[in-house]
Amino acid sequence: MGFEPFISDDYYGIFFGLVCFYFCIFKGQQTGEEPLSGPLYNERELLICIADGDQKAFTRLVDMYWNKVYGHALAYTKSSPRAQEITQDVFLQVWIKRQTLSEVNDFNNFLFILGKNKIISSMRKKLDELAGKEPVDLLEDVLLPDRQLEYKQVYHQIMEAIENLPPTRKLVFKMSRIEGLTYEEISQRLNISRNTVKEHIVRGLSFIRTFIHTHAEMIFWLLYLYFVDNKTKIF
Amino acid sequence: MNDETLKELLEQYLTGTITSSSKKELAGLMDQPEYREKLELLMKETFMAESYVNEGNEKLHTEIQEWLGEKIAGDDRTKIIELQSTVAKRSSLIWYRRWQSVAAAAVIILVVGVLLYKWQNNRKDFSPREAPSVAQSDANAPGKYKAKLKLADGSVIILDSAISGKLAQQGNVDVINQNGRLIYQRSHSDKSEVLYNAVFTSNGETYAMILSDGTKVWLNAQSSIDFPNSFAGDERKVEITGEAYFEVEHNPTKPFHVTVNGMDVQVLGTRFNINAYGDEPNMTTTLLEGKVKVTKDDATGFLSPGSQAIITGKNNLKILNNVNTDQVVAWKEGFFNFDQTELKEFLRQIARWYDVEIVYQSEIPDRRLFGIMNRNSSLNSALAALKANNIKFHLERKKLIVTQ
Repeated sequence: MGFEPFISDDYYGIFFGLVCFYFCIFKGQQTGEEPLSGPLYNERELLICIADGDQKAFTRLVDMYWNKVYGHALAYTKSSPRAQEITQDVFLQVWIKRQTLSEVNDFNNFLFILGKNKIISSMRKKLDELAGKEPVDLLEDVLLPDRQLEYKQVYHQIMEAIENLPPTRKLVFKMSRIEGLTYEEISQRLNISRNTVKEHIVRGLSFIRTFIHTHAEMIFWLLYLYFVDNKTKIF
Repeated sequence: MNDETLKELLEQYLTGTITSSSKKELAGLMDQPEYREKLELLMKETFMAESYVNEGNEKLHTEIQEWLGEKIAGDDRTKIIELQSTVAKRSSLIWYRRWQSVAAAAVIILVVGVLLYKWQNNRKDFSPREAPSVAQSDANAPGKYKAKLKLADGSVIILDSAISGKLAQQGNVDVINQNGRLIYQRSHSDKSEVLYNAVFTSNGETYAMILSDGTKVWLNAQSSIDFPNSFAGDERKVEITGEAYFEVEHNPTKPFHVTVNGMDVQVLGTRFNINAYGDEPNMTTTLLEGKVKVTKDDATGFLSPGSQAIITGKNNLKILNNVNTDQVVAWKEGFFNFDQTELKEFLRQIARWYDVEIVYQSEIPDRRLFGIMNRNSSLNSALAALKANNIKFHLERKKLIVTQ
């Protein structure tokens, strides 16, 4: 009975001092619990917790959905930094609107709508950016001596990224971009649907973008965009 | 121009095979509301089908979480400040004077260290607290280690810390009382029938027990547990009323179920507390360790350590995280622990432990209490909290009459 000597009316003053001290200092340390478990913690409960202002539940939700939101944004915006920005914004909106979460019936649809307009306007800008720029500009650019090192670096990074793709995706990507096969040909050779081939290509491109965005010390965005978007001589 | 063109152009754009002229064409289409809507539908399809879901990237994942964490932390700090000021306004309580206590804390920091260390050591200790001293055996003494055991044949045995040894045999299980706890221990007898026993506590009583599977149960005052002498079949099931704390022996092949007032708590092996007193507005299940599933009618919730399921009325299940679990299970450690506790709830706890009836002759103000008190303290020292809050009351034998 560790407490016994302290509990007498005479010691109340000291005791409650201790208690207050305990509340002030030690209460904050009671959060060392394990991360919220996977399948045991479903979307509905997470949303209810978040609506209550639970930050851990929010972090868990981001863990669960960021790949989906980011991957979607990246496929359409074709820019990893932009997709990251949109992803962050979508989840910040979720947090800001958390009090309405308990009324959200279709959370996936909710996420889609939060990102939709930004993704479309980004995509629209990207089309303008890319339009009018012909590979010939790039060719001239490549021939400038001080640019050659940069191109080489980017080239190596792209090849490294391709090597890091999951096996089937790597195969599909190489067949398309290096061997120059059409989607129909790839589809027949690998006995997968044309739509699957297309998905592999989009996700392969996204993967390379993310890879370079997160691996490059110096990022030559414009350059590799040409490589990836315009099927230049590299492939 | 038709929908197929849009689809075709979009596919070329996404796969990076679009030509310059097609880019202009696609951009032109996007500027028309009609096609923009169609584009949105196509986008939604791929989002819902998770066609382009990213395959993970730790660096990016961390960056996104950190960015959000910063944004949200700012949000939270303002909230905490708001909360503190409302708390400060609400609690005119003597018990809690932050600045005085911080000053005091500086002096007694060492004592706290020793105290917490001892407390931590005590927590694992299953042996009950010493029985309250006999000197306090007036009408308003605190509760005791006492309970009633009802055997399968209907006979009742009074349990307290004074009796020791084998009380009965139930099937192939020996029922032993030792140091104020009840132990169900498998014996070598081959009578393997399943018999149901029950342990009850009244107001002012508490008891601890070990079931035949090794699960430890602490019963608070005015509570009960119904359980079999040994757990046959593929489930372990007990039923309780009032408040109980469980340390369930891990056995993944035999889930442990606690039923209380239509709520089912399913666990494999874990530590948790259930408070289901009829006079409390909510039924709460608080998890300290492991995982539990709480079901009430159609509502189901899963708890992680430090979270609490609150059931209010029918089918209304809410889960709170980061609850003060020390406060929730303080009773089994021999303490009252009040943290923003409403005066009425404080009085309900007092009523159960000191076996007094609370009579309200007037509305009492909405006050919140903070503080820890040993459950061996006398009723009078507990009621000091009321005096400190200028609540007028008097005791008439077993009645605590609150007049203002």
